Amino acid sequence: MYFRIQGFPVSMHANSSWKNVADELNAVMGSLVEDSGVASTGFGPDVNIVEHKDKFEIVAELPGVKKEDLTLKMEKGELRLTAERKPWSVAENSRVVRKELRGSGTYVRSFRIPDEVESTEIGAQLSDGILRIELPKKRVAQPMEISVK
Amino acid sequence: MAEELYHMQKNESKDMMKIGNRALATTPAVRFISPPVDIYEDNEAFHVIVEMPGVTKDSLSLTVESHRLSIKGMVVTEPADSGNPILQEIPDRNYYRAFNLSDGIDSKNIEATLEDGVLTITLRKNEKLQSKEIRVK
Repeated sequence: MYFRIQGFPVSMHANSSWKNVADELNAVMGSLVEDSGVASTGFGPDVNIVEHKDKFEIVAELPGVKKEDLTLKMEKGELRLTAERKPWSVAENSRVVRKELRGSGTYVRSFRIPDEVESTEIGAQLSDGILRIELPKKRVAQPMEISVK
Repeated sequence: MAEELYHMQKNESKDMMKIGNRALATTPAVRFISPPVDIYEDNEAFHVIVEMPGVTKDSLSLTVESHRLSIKGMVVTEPADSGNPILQEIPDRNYYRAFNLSDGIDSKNIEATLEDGVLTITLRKNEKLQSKEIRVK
């Protein structure tokens, strides 16, 4: 039913209040949200997860990532997002005046996908630095009304 | 050169505070956050790279007024009632940041491109700032 999120919180942008939300979730639901130390191999993009009646939606911030440098892999009930951010082209032959952004490198994040998701129908779209992943629920998992005769 | 940049950075933080307050007063619903930037310099120009995921060409405005470059990007978000949030690490936000440009920047010749949620602004230097080689006779 619920996502187990690995590698949280690993984002350098992570705002403490969002971290607290995860802590709360953790307390309520046991180990649904856990840190598996992904931070050492790459940074995790910030994500939002929303549940709708007929689907789940994951939104991830991936500024500067091109479609060809993004892979989504579904394996053994786990959806793994890997994205490569290339170095800025203007950075060549120039001097750094200010550096606030994360450097180039790999974003990695995994999500444990609940059984009620129809894993063959997962779809994703990347535009303006935002990745949207749609995870439709299986028919039987959707709420339905029973008409009374 | 260092002095020019110092000027740019010092004024920027002051402006941000002022503008942050004003933005808060007029649009309490979605807050403006200051997007992170990288700035690079070569002999001809400064290159400002701004990460603004979710901003499109239509929702971005760049203005230069009395030596101040303002960057404002709006993020179109879905209505809050659509669905049950399980995890929210990305807040509802818009972006605002301003830089004071020194006299050494050619403010009539600024170029900008927005791609994959990343804005790149090229601020060309006028002759005053460009280093020149002096030929020795």
